[in-house]
This record gives sequence, structure tokens and C-alpha cells, in this order.
Amino acid sequence: MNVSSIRVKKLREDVLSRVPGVCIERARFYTEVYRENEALPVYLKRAIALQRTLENMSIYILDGELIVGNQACAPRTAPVFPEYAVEWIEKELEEKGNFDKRAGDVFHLPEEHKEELLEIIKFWKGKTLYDHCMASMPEEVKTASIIKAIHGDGNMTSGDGHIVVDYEKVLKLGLKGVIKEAEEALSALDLSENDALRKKAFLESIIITLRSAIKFAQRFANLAEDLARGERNPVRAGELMQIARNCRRVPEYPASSFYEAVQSVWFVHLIQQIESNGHSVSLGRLDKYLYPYYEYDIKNNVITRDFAMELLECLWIKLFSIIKIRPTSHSGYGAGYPTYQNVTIGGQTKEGRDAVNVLSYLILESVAGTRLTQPNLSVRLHANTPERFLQKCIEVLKMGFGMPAFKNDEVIIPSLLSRGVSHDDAYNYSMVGCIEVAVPGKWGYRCTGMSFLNMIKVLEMTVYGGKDPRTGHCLLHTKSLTEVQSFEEFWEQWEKQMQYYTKLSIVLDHVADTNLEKLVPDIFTSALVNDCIKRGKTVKEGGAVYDMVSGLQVGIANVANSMAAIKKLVFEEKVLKPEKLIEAMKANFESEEGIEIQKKLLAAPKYGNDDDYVDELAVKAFNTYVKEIVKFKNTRFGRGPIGGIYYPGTSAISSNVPMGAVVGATPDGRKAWTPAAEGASPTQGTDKKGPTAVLKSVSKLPTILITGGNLLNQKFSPDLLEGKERMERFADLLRTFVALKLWHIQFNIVSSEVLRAAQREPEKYRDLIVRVAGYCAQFVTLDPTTQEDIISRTEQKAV
Amino acid sequence: MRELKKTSGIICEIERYALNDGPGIRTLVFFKGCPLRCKWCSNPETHNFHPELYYYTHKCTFCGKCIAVCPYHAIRADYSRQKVITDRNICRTCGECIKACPTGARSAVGMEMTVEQVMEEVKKDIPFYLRGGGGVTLSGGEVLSRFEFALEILKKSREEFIDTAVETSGYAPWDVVKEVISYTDHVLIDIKHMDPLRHRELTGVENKLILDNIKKIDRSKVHYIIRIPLITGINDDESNIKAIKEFTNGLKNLREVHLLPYHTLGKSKYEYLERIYELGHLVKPHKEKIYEAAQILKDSGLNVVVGG
Repeated sequence: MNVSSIRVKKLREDVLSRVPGVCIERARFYTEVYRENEALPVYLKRAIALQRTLENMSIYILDGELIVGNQACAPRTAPVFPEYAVEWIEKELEEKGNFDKRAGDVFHLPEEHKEELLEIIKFWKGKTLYDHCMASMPEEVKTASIIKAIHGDGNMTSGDGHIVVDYEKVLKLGLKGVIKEAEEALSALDLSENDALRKKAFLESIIITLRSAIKFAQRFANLAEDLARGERNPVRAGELMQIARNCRRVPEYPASSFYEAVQSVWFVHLIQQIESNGHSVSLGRLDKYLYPYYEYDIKNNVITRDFAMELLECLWIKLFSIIKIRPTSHSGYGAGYPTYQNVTIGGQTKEGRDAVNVLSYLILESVAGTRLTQPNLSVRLHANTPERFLQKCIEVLKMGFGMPAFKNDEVIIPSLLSRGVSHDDAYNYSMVGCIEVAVPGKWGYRCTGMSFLNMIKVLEMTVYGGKDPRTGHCLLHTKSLTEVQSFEEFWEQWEKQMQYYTKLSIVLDHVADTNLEKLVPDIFTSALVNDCIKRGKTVKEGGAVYDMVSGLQVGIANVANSMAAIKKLVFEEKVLKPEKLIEAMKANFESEEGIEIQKKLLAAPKYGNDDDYVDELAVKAFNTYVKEIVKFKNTRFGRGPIGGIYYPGTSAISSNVPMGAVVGATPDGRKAWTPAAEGASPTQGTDKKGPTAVLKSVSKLPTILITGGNLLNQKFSPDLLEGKERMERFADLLRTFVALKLWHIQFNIVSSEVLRAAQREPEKYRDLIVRVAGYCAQFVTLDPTTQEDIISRTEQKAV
Repeated sequence: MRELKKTSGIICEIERYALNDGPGIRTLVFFKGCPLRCKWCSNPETHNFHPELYYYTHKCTFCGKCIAVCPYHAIRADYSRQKVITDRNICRTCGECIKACPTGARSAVGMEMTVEQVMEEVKKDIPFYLRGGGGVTLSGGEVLSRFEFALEILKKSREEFIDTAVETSGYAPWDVVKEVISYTDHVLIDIKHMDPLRHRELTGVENKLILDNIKKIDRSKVHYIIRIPLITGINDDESNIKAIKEFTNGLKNLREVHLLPYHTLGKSKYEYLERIYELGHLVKPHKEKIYEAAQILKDSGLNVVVGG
């Protein structure tokens, strides 16, 4: 699958060739406004700051662009958001001179802007979100963060993101309609009433931001007209005039065509990303809400199918142009410039019928054509997903860029219903970020929580009686492995530690929530989430219809495997003395005896092989956490939204790497400082019985309770999908995924280049599964001859 | 070696998500032991009926621990290669050396399993069998050599409504074949060579019994597929394929033939078993050769699948 035109090809090449940069314009305007308006309510301060940015920032229209609107002065250039945190910017600039000396996620800041940026930083020092969070953080939580049993940096240095606003409403009413709603609410206020002045400021700020969004679009209309006048190519001049007409209409007015609808969605999506630096701002069910416009335009010969494709491809390139700069300290938690802009397709209508339409196919094909890391494409599967659509998904998957990811209506909808979501809303869910779910336009931020709980760290500390061997801190003393008499007693110690650290992770969440609410309310975003206007509240104050969030846990597989090894070897078979285990862990299994012990530990049952012995421990461990986390309420509880609760989730992005990097050797045989297992996936390289066993193991977890989402990653070799028959088998596998009620699955289909890389660095590719003869095996465990054979086979097939 | 009860047998491996051995997603149960010795065999670990030892030389550090623990003194040092050698005639696969090896360079292939144990594994993937008509496939080794054990598994699978398939060389008395296929949904049976003498030379047995059994299977109405391993320069010549065609022309109920081109994936297994792979030097059959063979068979109206 290729892109549909030379235009798109050029735009794609252009955006891919850009070196990520840093743009300070936004920081300049926000700082000016904050300086000039110290006494204004924070809503208005932020509304005016956004207004000044949208009305003054550099804008551009690249040659050939059909969809216009930019986040910063150039594509792939990150704005600076000084109000969230500046210490890290200063530190990185002082230590390294720029952001381009980082090990990963490199950015370039033009030298001439460095001085101004440092000047801006001076103003913000002591005033940022991060400063406030640190000032209000209890000592205990700080220590737990140093231990890295919990981690919450991400949301003390950036905004919330993780939201799908009501795009459908914007398309139907235009921002004009939303402004009208705000004006009506404003005129209905009785200013003598309690809290009315606050509401007044909030509603006024909404009107300001929405009007400035309209102005922002008008600026592009003007620019397009200017460009059209100077354009020699009449075809392009015509395109520019069309762009101008689009930008005059949307997002102010309801969209009257597919083209306008796409442009409108892009503006609304873009402005959220200028307002806040939160990531995972997602587009929701694009095939559902764009379809009426597509259908009308096709029927009336307004557009062709090819042109619709081209517009979608332009939209994907736009999504890819968005970028965020994060502190190096947090980059490891989401490596590779991710912005997690999710697009959801497929699924069901509220009547429970299949919702796949032509646009679902076009979205799938266009994402395959552009082959970028954005959007993060999700397909909602259900019991009656059409075979043809499923096969199309598999064809795209075969291309080997990891998309689409699959979600399962058959467990997600019941899970949402069980949390009090209405029938119609539950059927209308969409993905946010990676694997999180929310009801578009009605859900607060953060259907995923902001603090990570390092389960494997907690387990390590439990072995040592609550003491962290790396830092020496001991926040909660319990009996160590040498002091307990039975496995059950050891489990109890772990439960105590888990309860303790789960609670601290909630405190950490509240530290961030409280300060985000107070310091950096998102006005534009709140305007487009129901029922913020009606309630006169931002999302963070409880404006959303639903507001439930999940904690994030890392390393469930490591915990289950460690527990299984301890249970079996230490307590049941008694072949391993606790003292010896601890000694070996301290020596990182490097002594002669340590090697022997590690071998025994590695031979113990491992999660991911459909082995009840260890899978039941995984379930038990997870239930401990489930039982604990549902006790807590978020900061919006009782303030309006349905829910206000916490539930579990395993969408831990790439945090398994930094989380593992602070944990010494563990009883599952894992060496010190190596990555933890990811999401709910088995520990890398320990699942040896093929994909069906993995699916079975994961299906034993209490998925319906994990409303925060349950992540499963699988790597496959391309020849598992070679030929019609194998693709059908793969479809069978996916259908069974649906029937087993798993939450999410994504596949990496790896090429021979990857296999070569795996030969060079086997440690990194331990979970790479390839087909040998009639069966699958871990590639790195194969002997060199067989590896060679498999590589040559793959290459033959590629010809 | 002690006699095995009919309720247990030696299994090499149970592979899940097998895609090539019958319809749908299947679980493959590899029996250990085979009366044939096909020179190209890619599963040499299934030759003998008893458990054996795998030795991964690339993992061996020549520490000598295995030599010290072996109760039968079957292991000795090979100083020139800095490796060890196991006298397979003395080794009883007691497992002491496996336990002692610090690097995992030794493992056992083949373990005694009861019907219940096999069924426990087979039943695990029932949810996956339901779509696409998958199920269990008994393979080997030669399933029919342990037909009582095989029958029990097949019967139990039928009780659980699990689709059943058997991969066989067909080298067993008809009574045995007849009983086994009565509990089998799909039979995958090989034709390796049409010439009786050449067959004997290549596999150690003659092909008459096999060909007779195929004719009888054809009359039994069970769904069956003939599989032909295509071995470069051994049986892929036009005359042999034509002879096969002539034979299959006489079969009324045959619809499908699978061509299984020779591959070298079994090579390392011979090394692990410290045996010599006579045909290890062969190259894979040329694409054209496979195409030609497929064409010949297609001419008689058969559905020919390469790889199968």
C-alpha cells in the first residue's frame, strides 16, 4: 500500500526529513501575558495567553498542503510550555548546551533563541506546576519516588492530555454554537450566588479561547489568499482558494463538506496541543463522525474517493508533525517521540450492530500508505466484525509497522457498563492514547492515571524486609524472606507493602491533580467536554460527565514469576534456602553458586505458558492490587462526574525499561537493572508455548475489572502471515482473542533486518517469535544455523 | 526398557498454534519412535522409542560437571574439541548430567506422558479450535507404532468434540490403520517413493504395505491427504512423480496432495543427538522443480499445496 499521490509523497518525505526542533514563541507569549496580568483569575490568564499565541504565532502553509494549521514555527518543532516546569530545561541547557546531545529523543534549539529562553525561565522559576507539586509533596512520597517504587514526574512537568473532546459537536454546531452555549450560561448566572464569580471568569475565558480559535483559522484563510495571489500554478492557486474558503468557515461554522470536516477536526485537535503539553490527545471514532460528510459528498459528487484518501493522508502527516519535548528523566517512560494520538475505527453502533463503513477501510488504507508513527490506529473488534475488514486489518499488520492495534468490544463494553457508564455511551467508547478507553466528549482526562506503581520494586523490597537495597531507604518494615515461615506469610508481607505503596501512588496522583487544577486549567479543552459549560467547571474541577482513572502498574509478570519461584523452590521443594537466594540476588547471579541458582529460578514456572501454577499467582497478585486501588477516589469525586474512582490498568508505555533499571536481580531469575515485563505481557523470552498459550495466560487475569486497559504485545515473523491460509489462521487467532475477552493485542511483524539485529544483540530480542517448521520458537534461542535458515527463508519470501 | 502401558507413551513435544498439519489452529503431539529411517528425516529425535539426550555444543563450556555425575560413566572428555562425548549406547537418560550442567547445554528429549496429561495440553487450546475447524494432530515418529496409546487420545478427543488428525507413514498392519482411522477426521499419509527397492534403500522398509493401506484408506471414505516429501535428487525426478500420479489416479476419494520440499531445519538436531545427518549436505529443491512436480499432479485434477 502506497500513498495516493505525489503531493502526499512529498509532504511525507518533507516531514520525515525534519530534525525535531524547539520553538520558543508560545513560551514568549505566555510569559508576556502572565507578566502583564498577575492579578487576573487563572482561567482568564490562560485564555488570554492562548489567544495571544494563536493570534501572533508564526503560521505557514507548506507547498502542496491541503490541510493547514501548525503547532509551532516549523513541522516537528516542539513549543515550550514553561508554566509546567523549567528546571529541567535549564539543567539540560546548562549541562549539555542544547537538547541535541541526548541519548534518545533529540531536539535542536536554535542558538539565537537560547538567551531568550533562559530569560523566560528566570520568570517562571518557583512558579511552575513542578515547583508547586514539589512544595506540596509529602516527604514519604518523595522518598518513595526516590526509591522509584512510584513515579509521577510525567504529570508534574506536563499537562493532562489523554482526552477525546466532542468533535462531533464542533462539526454539527461549529465553535459559534459552543460560544452561544457559554454566553447563555453566562447570562443565566446570578452573580450574587456563591461561586458565581468563579464561573463567570471560567465562561468568559471559554468565549475568549473559542473566538481566538476562530481567528486562528481566519489567519490561515488570509495566508492562503495571499499565497494564491502570488501562485503561478493555477491548480495550486485554486487549492489555496479552497483552503481559504475552508478556513473562513470552520471551525466557526458547522462543517458543510468532508473536506471542511477534516480541516475542522484538525484545528480543534491542534489547538488542544498548543494549549497544553499533555500527550495522548486523541481523535476518537473518526470513521463514525466523519462518515455522514463523506457519504453526502460522494453521493453528490463533491469529492472522489481518491481525494478523500488524500485528505486523510494529509491529516496523518499533520498528526505526525506534532511533537512534544519532555525531560530526559521522563523520556525513557515513553521513548521515541510518542504523542499517542489515537484514532479508533470499527466497533459497534449503539444498537449493537457492526459499525464498519467505507471510511473505516479508507482510514486503514491511508494509515498503511503513509506508514508513520501517528496516528496510533486502533481497531475495535467484536463478535461480528466483518471477515473482509478483519482480513484488511491483517494485510496492514503484515506491513510490519505494528498497526493497527486491536481492542475488544466484548470485554470493554461490559467493563464500562459495570462502572456505571450508560448503555449508549459504553457502545460509543473510543481509545485514548494506547489502550485506555473513554466516552468521547464526555470523559475527564486521564482515563489512565499519572503515577506508575513499580510492582517489581515492591516485590524486591519485600524480599529484603521492606528495605530498598539500591538506596537504603526503608519506608515500611515487614518480615523479610528469611524471617517468614511459609509462602503465605511471605505473600502477606508483600500485600502489606503493596497496600502501602498503592496508597502512596494515589497521594502522588493527588499532588499532581490538585496543582494541575489550580495552576494550569485547560480552557479550550474544557469548552468541548460535556458538561463543563453547564456546570461552570473545568474538566479538572469535575466538569466531565464521567471521570474515572486508573493506576498504572509495571511488572505483573515479574511478580508472578518471582512468587512462583519462591513458592516452588523455597517453600514447596525446599531446594533453595532464602539466605542463598538473597545472596545470589545481591551478587546478581554472577557467582558460581549464583549461576546455579539463577538456572533453577529460570526453570520455575513462568507466566505466559498457560500454566495454572504461575498464572493463578498472577491473578492473585493482580486481585490484591484491584482490591486495593478501588478503595480510592480521585480529586473529582463528588463534584459532579459519574465515577470519581480509581481502577487498575496496565498501560505502562515503555516505563518497564526505566522501572526495571532501578531494580536489582529478582527471584524470577531476572538480572539486575534489566527491563521489567511490559504491560500484562509475559516477561521477555519466557513465553515458550506460542501465541495461543500467551493469550490463554493473559485471559486468566480479571480483565473486566481492569477498566484502565490491559496491554499485550506480541512479536511475529512475517511468514506467520504468509499466504491466504495462514492469514485465515491469524484471523482465527484474533477471533479467539475476542472470544477470550482479552482487552488489547498488538503485533510486531518483524522483517529479516530485525532478525539480523536480533543475531547481533540477542538480549534485546528475547521475545521475538519466529516460525521454525510447523511451530514457533524464540528466535534468539535457536542455534546459528537454524537462525540463518530462517533469515534466508524470510528473504526469499520478500522477493 | 520397561513396557509402557497403553495409557501412556513417550512424547517428544506438544506444539501449539501449529498451522500446517490439518485445518485450523492445531495442537501437534509428537510421538517418539519410528520403524522407518528416512535418510532426509528432519526429526531424528523421533527415531528411537526411548527418551534421549540433547547436547548443545554451542552452550557447553567444558566444565566437566556432567562427566563427574554420570552414574553410568557414559560421558567422556574430548580435549581436542574442548567438548564432551556421550556414549549413547550406555546413556540411560537418567537426567543427572542435565541437572548438573550449569549452562543448560544438556536436556532430555522425550518424556513419558499419560493420556490424561496429553489431553490436558490438547484441551488448553479448545477456544482456538472452534473457529477454522482446528484440533489435535498426532504426529511423530510413527503414531501407529503406539496405536493403543494413540487410540486412547483420539477417543478422548472425540469425546471432547475436538477435531482429530493423524500424520503417518502408513507403515502398520491394516487392522491397526483401520481402527485408528475410525477415530480420525483427517489422515495425512506420506508417499516417499514409488519404487519398492529404492523405498527400502531410502527408508529402511518396503512400500507395498504403505501403498496397500492408502488404497484401503481411499475406500474407507475418511478425509485424507497424501503428502510427498520432495527431496532434492532423491525422489523429485519426473519418473517418480509420474509414478505417483499413476498411483493416485486409481484413488477415487483423494482430493488433495501436499508437496513438502526438503529443508535443513533438522540439521542441528542431528548434532544435538551426536549423530550424522547423511543428507545434511543437500540443498533445498529448486522452485522450478517444485513447480514441475506440482504441475504433473495438478493435471490429474488434484488440489496441490506446496508446504501444506
